[in-house]
Parts: sequence; structure tokens; C-alpha cells
Amino acid sequence: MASDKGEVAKGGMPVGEERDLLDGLLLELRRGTIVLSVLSQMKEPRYGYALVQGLEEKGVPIDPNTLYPLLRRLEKQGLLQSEWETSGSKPRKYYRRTELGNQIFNELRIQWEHMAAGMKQLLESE
Amino acid sequence: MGAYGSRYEAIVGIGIELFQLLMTAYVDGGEIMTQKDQEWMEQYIYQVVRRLPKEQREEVSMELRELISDMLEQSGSSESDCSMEKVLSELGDPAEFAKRYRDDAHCLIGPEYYDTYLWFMKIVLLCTLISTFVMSLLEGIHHVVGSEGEGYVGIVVRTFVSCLVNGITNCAISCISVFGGITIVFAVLERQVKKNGLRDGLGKKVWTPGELTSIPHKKAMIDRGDCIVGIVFIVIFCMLLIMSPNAFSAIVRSGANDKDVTLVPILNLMQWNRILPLFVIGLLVGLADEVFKLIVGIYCYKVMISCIISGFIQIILGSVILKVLPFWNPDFMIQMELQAMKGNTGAEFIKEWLSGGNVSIMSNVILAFIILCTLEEIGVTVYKTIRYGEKYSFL
Repeated sequence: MASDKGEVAKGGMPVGEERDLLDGLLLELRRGTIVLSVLSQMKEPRYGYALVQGLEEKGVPIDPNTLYPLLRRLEKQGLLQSEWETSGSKPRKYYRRTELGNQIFNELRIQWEHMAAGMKQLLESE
Repeated sequence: MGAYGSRYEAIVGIGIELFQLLMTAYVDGGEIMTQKDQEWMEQYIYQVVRRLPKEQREEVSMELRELISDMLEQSGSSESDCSMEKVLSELGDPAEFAKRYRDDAHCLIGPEYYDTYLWFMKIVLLCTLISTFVMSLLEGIHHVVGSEGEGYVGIVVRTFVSCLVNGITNCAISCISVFGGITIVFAVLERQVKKNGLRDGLGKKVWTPGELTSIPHKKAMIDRGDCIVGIVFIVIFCMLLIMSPNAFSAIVRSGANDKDVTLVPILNLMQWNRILPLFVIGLLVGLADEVFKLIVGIYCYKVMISCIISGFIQIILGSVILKVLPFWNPDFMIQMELQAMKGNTGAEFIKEWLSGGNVSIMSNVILAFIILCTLEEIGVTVYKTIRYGEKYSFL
């Protein structure tokens, strides 16, 4: 995969322009799975930062500056509903899946499983 | 004293308790923030929400306050001083953050219309550029010719310089206005279409392979260059007729060394208010036809019909203008005679030639020329449509 523009270091880790290319592709790859990973965690009400930590613990880190806008968008699309909890020491916004959110999540999950199985086959036959 | 003492102690005790209560509440709230931290946080939040629509600002501010204090709590437990700085740099550029909050694509012309916009812009700019430049050129020549003569070289140099200066300025001005105009029209149209959901209605039409058309025969393609030349010509002619009908004048030199230059208008400027509208309508019909051809790009029945209709309208309008309306300057003869008396041989010749009913012959010749050109164009269009373009008629 050596090109005249970027070089591949001995260990196989790309540097320079190829590093950027790889980062871009990785970002795209993750972007597609973000909605599904967020929806999966929203059966019970959770607030934003707890979700950030929860996802990170499970090995699917997501930046807060991506997550917060995403939560709002999913709410606007009717997949999540939110509620401000003001009885605690500071106001917190809790999100949870709506009925529509449940349906869509289940559908997405089935599709994801198909996709993952397909990908596995593709990559194994490589 | 004892009573006082116990009372004093009680008050102090309550005071201390209150203070502690307040402190715990403060720490419980996660707000182990110094004044400076608080300031930084509010500044950051402000930088995000000021870029958002008004109705979202308050709620997003609350969300961010929650988030930042959560993050601060997390990092504050491990590190000490500059944790707010760390939290904010982790969140990154507020502008970037705000961009993620705005879900709608913030562009003037969306990707859906961008190609059309670009194509349209190129053609209109090209037409504007050429017509404006030619107009400026003609105007410049006209201006210089109309002024007092001062020797051939002087005139040429002045014409050249004034044309160049005028041409460039006019081109710049008109291109900028055209650019702005088209952009505004596209931007407004796109927003209207999105608002009214027109696009959804159109988008739901399911495409089937049956809609595929065979690849057009090379000869069925309409030459874009021809259309552009046609459009530019019409625009220039139209602008000349509207802005300076004086441009259509006979230039007569007389006097010693041909120093006196007189412009004798050929057209009937006294009746211009009646003639001009018809003229402009005729040209606009032609313009519409050229634009339609440019858009369709292939000879087909629609183009053919448009061509025939516009052709006939132009022939009719041409006949009315040349044969019914007083098109020619009625004083032309008198003015020519005047010039002839000053000893101008050219004027003498024209006068001789025009006397004896030649004016109506000239009208007829021009009309015949218009009719021939129009019929030729209709003929070519019909031939090409029937020979090559029939298949694309449902386009």
C-alpha cells in the first residue's frame, strides 16, 4: 500500500497523510454505529454524562460534543424523550427511548446483526 | 452570663451548621468551582449558544452546565488546579460544538440544487459578460464618434481607452449583480421548496427503468454554443434598443476634411414608445425559445413546437413593426438632404437611393430576411426532430 505521498512505517502503522486518511475512514465507520449504540443504552432513563461514561466503559467511546447534539436530534426525531430532573442537587436532563424508539432500535439491531454476520464472512474469506 | 454564653454558643453553632449545610450543598452540587471556573464555563457556553437559534439557547445552556460540571467533577477528583481548562479543551472549539447542534446543513445553495445552480450561473454570467462588454464597446464608439473630431489617432486612442475602462467596470458591476441575483433566487426557491414539501411530492415518484431513454443521436443534440450566441445577440440587441436607439444612426461627415460628424437616426424615435414594446416582446419570445432549447438540449417535439410558435410570433411582430408602424425616421430624408447640401456625397447618394419608394423596398427586404431566417430555423428544427430527435419527445 506504499504510495509516493505517504510512507508506511515498519510496524505497519501509517504516518502522515495515510494516518489522516485512516482517521477519516475510521470516523466514518464509527459514525454509522453511533445512533445504534446510543439507542441501545436508553431503555432506562439516563443523563448525558452517565451515558458518556457507560459507553466508554464498554469500549465504545463517544465524545460529549458529539453525544449531546445527537441526543437532541434523536429527541426531535421522536426516538427519545427527555425530562428535566430538578429534585436533585442540580438539574439533570434524563433521556429514555420512546415507543417509536423501541421499535426502531429493535429493527436496527436486527439489521446490525445481519450486517455484522455478513461482514464477518467477508473478512474471514479475505 | 451563663445564659448569654449558651445563647451565644447556640447562635454560633447554628451559624456554623448553616455554613456547613451550605457548603455541603455546594459541594454536593458538584460545583467545586472557583469563581474563575464559573466565569470560564459561562463564557464557553455563551460561545456555543450564541451560534444557535434563539429558542434552543436556554435549554442547551442548561445541558452544557450539567455536562461541564459533571466532567469537572470527574476530572477534579484526580487532578487539582487547571481541571476546568482541561474539561473545556476536551470539549473543543465552541464553534465546532455549535455546528453539531445545528442539524440543518448551513449552506446557501444545498447540494441538491448546486449543480443546476452552477450550470445556470456559468451560462448567465457568460451571456452577461459578453453582452455587457459589447454594449460598452458600442456605446464607447458611439460616444467618441458623436463628439467633436480631433484627428483620427486621437479618436481611436480615446475610443479604445474609454471602451476598455467602461467595458471592464460595467462587466464587473453587472456580473456581481447577476451573481447576487441568481444566488438569491436559488436560495429563496430552495427554501420555499423545502418549506412547502414540494420536493417530497416529487421525490415519491418511483423511478422505473422504463424511464430510460436511448442515448441521443449526436445530431439530435442542440449545440449549446449556438444557443449562447443567440442569447447574447438577443440581449445586446434588446439593450441597444432600450437604452440607446440612437446607436442605429447614419454617421455623416461633412465640412472641410470631414470634420463635422452628424448622427442621423434611422429609426423613428418620435414613435419609439409604440415601437419598442413590440420589438422587445419579439426579442423576449426569441430569448425564451433559446433558453428552452439550452435547457432541453435535444431536438424533440417540445423544442420543435416552441421553435415554431416563437418563429411565427416573431414573423407577425416583425411585419407589424416594419409594415404597420411608422418604423423609419420620417425626417431621415430631410436631414440627408441637408447634409447633401453641405456637400456630402454619401448623403447625396443615400438620398437619391431612398427617394422613389425605396423605403418600403427596404422594409420588405428586411422583413423577407427575417422571415427567411425564421423559416430556415424552423425547417432545421423540424428536420432534426423528425430525423433524429423523435425518440426523445417525451423528455
